[in-house]
Amino acid sequence: MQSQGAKVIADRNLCRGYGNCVATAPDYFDLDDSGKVVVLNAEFPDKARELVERAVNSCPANALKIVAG
Amino acid sequence: MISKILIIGASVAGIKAAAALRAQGFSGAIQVVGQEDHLPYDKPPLSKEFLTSMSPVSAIALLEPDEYAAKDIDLVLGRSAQRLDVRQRSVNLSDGGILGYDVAVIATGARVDRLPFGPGDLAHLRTLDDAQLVRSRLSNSRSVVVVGGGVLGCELAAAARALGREVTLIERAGALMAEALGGPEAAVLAAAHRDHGVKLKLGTALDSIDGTFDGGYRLNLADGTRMESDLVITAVGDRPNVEWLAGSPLELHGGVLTDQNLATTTVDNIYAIGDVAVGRDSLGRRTRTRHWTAAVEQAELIAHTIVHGPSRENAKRPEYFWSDQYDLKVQSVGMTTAGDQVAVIQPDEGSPTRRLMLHSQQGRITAAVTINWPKASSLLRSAWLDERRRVDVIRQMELGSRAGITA
Repeated sequence: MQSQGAKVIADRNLCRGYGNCVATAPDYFDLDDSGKVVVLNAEFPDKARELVERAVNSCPANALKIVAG
Repeated sequence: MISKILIIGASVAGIKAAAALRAQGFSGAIQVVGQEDHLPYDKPPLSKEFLTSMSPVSAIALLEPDEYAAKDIDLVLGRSAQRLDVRQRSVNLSDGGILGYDVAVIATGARVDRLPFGPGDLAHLRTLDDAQLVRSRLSNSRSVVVVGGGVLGCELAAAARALGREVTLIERAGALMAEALGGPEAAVLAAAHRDHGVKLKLGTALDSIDGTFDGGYRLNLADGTRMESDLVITAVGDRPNVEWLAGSPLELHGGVLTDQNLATTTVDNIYAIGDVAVGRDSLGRRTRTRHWTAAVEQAELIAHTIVHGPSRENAKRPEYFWSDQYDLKVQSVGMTTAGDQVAVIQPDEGSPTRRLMLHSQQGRITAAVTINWPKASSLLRSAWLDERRRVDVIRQMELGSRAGITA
């Protein structure tokens, strides 16, 4: 089941390549060669919500956000 | 049944713990006590963009003002903890108030260390008030001396240069960020600071500082150098805020002693996280980690432990910190030590400043420090605890590199 259509989005202008999201939720985030975040899966199932939220909270640059679908 | 969690310290660790408790489904009362009057704020920007871009205080808020009500987090600001009573399960505050708890989370952080000599008005940076003062004093200064070449001192020097000030950086050790990195990274950093016009005085102790009549300072260095400066900012370390715990049964050992992985203390129902907590690092040393990522990971960890019970899986993460100076992004995974064997890997592609410095002790890899190579740092960090994956990642990097230069 998806999390009420919620999506995780990234602001690549804010991203500073710290990589905390990748360390927390590698199935959802990666860095490209320029060191900016890439969202691998914007949509996530309910059971992954806590993990994705943790990744969002672990971003020192506040570059990630969960938005309603 | 836990009906109330009291978090002592509105620090990064404290606020992240409150938010994580809610995110993980804790529905009881959460109260956070903070010494400062400001709404809780983030620390890393204070030595970087907060100084250089005149960004407003709201830009560095840990939570938006309305999120405290939305998450039902009760903030008690402008009061400090004076005493912990584990029998009564209560904390005495500076205004005479007493707050009870079922679970207490100690997140009182650390405060700035000062030089043991010199005038009392030397600038330093730890809190938002400090940063606002440094920002305003920087705007009135032509020349700045930064005392201390650790992570903070280096970032302050870079920020002051970005503002166009004449900057001298004095470090008693022979290398920059020697404690945090300890390898050939120091030479790269020193070159960057020099290229950006910072005068470096490395391996030289500061003998004295005196105020001058015009509000500036006169400094005497051990090598005979005398200099004058409009502003002196000291960055000579910090010490944990543990005095209020004297007389409590908590074991103090340069901070509040915790289990290396679970942030539990020697007393049931009391956790310690962030800059005040002492754990064992991956080299088995007792240390305060003092890094943003560690504080946030510990906050998540104790929230999980309190709500769902302990999970050793979650607790296992390699140490990580970053520093941004000029156009250099330094990222460190694992623990470095002075005297490490270091292999330097330079990729054939990408920025010419890109480097991976692989630290090892007796053939065992202990840390990976990258400069301007976030992707490499992130790959290594993900693979870090799995020896075979880590070796694979390193081999891939070596393939695309001029590798194997051992420093």
